[in-house]
Amino acid sequence: MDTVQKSKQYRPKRYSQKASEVKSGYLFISPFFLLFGVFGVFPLVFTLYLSFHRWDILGETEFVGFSNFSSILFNDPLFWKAVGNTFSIWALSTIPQLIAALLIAFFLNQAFLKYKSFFRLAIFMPNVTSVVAVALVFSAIFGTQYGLANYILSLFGIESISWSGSYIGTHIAISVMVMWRWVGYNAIIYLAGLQGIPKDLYEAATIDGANKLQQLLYITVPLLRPIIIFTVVQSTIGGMQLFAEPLLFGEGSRSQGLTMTLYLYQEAFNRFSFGYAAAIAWVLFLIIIIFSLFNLFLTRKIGSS
Amino acid sequence: MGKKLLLLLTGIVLMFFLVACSEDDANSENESGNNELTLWAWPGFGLGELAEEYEEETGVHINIQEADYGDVHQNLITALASGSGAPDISAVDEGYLDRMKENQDQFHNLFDLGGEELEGVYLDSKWEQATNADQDFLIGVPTDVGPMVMAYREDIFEEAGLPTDPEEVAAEIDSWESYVEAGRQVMDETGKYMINRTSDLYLAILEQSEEQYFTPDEEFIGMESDQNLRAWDIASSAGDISINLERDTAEWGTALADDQIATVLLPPWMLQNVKNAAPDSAGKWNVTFMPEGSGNFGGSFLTIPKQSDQPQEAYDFASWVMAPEQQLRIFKNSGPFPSTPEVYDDPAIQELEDDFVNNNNLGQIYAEAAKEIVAGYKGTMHDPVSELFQDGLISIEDNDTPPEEAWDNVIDEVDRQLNR
Repeated sequence: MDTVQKSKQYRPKRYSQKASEVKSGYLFISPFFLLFGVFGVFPLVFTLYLSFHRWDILGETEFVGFSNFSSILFNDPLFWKAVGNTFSIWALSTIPQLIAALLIAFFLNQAFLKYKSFFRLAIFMPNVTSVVAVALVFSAIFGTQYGLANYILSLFGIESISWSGSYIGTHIAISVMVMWRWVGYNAIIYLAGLQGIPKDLYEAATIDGANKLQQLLYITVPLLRPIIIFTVVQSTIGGMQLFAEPLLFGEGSRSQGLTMTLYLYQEAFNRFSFGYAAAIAWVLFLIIIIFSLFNLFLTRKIGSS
Repeated sequence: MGKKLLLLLTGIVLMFFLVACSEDDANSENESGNNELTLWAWPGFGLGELAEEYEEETGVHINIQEADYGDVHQNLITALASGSGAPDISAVDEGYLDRMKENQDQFHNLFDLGGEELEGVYLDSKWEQATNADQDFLIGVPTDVGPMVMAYREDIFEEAGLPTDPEEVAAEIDSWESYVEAGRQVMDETGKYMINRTSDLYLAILEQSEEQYFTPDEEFIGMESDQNLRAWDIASSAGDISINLERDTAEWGTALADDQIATVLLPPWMLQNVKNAAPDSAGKWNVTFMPEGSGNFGGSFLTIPKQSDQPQEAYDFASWVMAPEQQLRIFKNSGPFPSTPEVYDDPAIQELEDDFVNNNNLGQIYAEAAKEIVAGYKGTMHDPVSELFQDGLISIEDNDTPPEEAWDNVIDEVDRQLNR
């Protein structure tokens, strides 16, 4: 009797405490969800809505069904050119970049190297530079008539390249800009990964007579696998969203520097076709997902074989 | 612990509200007590000094907020679309004007605020742009104009065996055909280029006509518009006299300083860019009329969005600051060229001198060119379409794309973009 009454008395109190904990719990996580709702979910849903409409932002929206999507897929060579450019620039910048970053990290991790922190800092510096400044300097370097790059080529007797006027020239110029900014970032990540590899493995390998290259290929790379996957995925996402560099360098007369996101931006803010731009955004979303999965599959395969 | 955090958070949130509220209070006080008007513009209008003077005289404070050219227009369009955040006055460039006119319900009709008094004050071409077809809606107060003239290098012309006196040059180069011919002469005799890019030649020719890409019903006529065909033909055949560098880039400046470019087709304000790029070429330049009349490059309007709750005050300032005397003062302070013909006889323009060019009639040439401007009909898609034609011409220069192929590519892409 007594115990029952006690528990009856306690129950509501415990209940309310729990409820208030629940409440404050939600309150604590609410800032994220509010911000995410306003800046994440709403634009996502609204973009989907817009992609089925024609809208110049000031006027009324007009429902057009799937016509935006069918135009993109079947009647827009410029879009597919942008996709091609993006992948080409991505490949030209990411593959050499990651290899270079790995070699730099391997070098920075060597015991014989002095002033380690200085080199680490120096290699990371380009990453904190403003893209606009980088693009301005590189545009001057890759000038066709008065550029530094063509001057250096001329010293070797190579004919000057029209950097802003040809496909390969524009792709290389933009890739070099991307590489310069991101190679240090990736090197630092690899360096962190390298430091997690036990030193005795290298010592044992040295004793067994393995040279530095063999150590790199048979110890470092396999053990760095998860980190390599991480950087590949990062670079893929970054490469697919390449925007500021081509915008500032110039897309060229045949749109050879036009990337997917730049095309989306121009559609929305130069031509004010917001519906079409929204549809492009969704197609891009799909392309990036497919490509990331493919990438993941590939890096897994390489790592495990 | 949790409670303390909660308290802290609530405190922060409350503080935000307090700050927000107090700002609101300050604003409303301003609105009722001494007025404040916000004005959006991009750099180069030269309104600062006049705005201060206006505040001293009337007590109305003008809060000038500057942003990049593109940003001002994008921000304005976003603010109009979202229904809040637009300023009391916003500058709108002629390139965006037709998009705004299309949505004229977003703006105050200046005719309702006393705009009739402005009729006849500004160049006809400016007035035509500022009003709608029925002449019953005035979207903005005209600001400056950019009358196109031809700046040329006397030393290069002399070396090439061309005349150097402005009048003789204008007589010799009186058509675009003779311009290209003179360019070939320059190339043959000196190895230097006549112009920076064929697309700039194209734009100069296109701007001389009222009919450009679109009819007032927004029908695309780029394939048959005489002026567009002529501009394309001349520009696409002029690749050999062009150095193929984009205007206002570092390389363009280097080429100018390196004495490689013989002429620049420019509005008055762009002369400053040439000065900055090639200061050592001072005294080697002269200015004369462009072949086949002038054209316009740049020039804006001060509009009053519907969201402004003090349109009368905004109109009073806009019409005052763009009145003839004030436009003249802006010009004297090395600002853009006035759009009010009555000040063209003022000594400040008639006797304009510039050490950079050997011409005592510089101001007269500008004024004469300004009167020759025709108001080309633009339409909402003018700029993107123009971009495609320019890219087409550059692709001919870049890699010898056959002109017919480039033309077909442009027309195909225009067609796709217009049907979106």
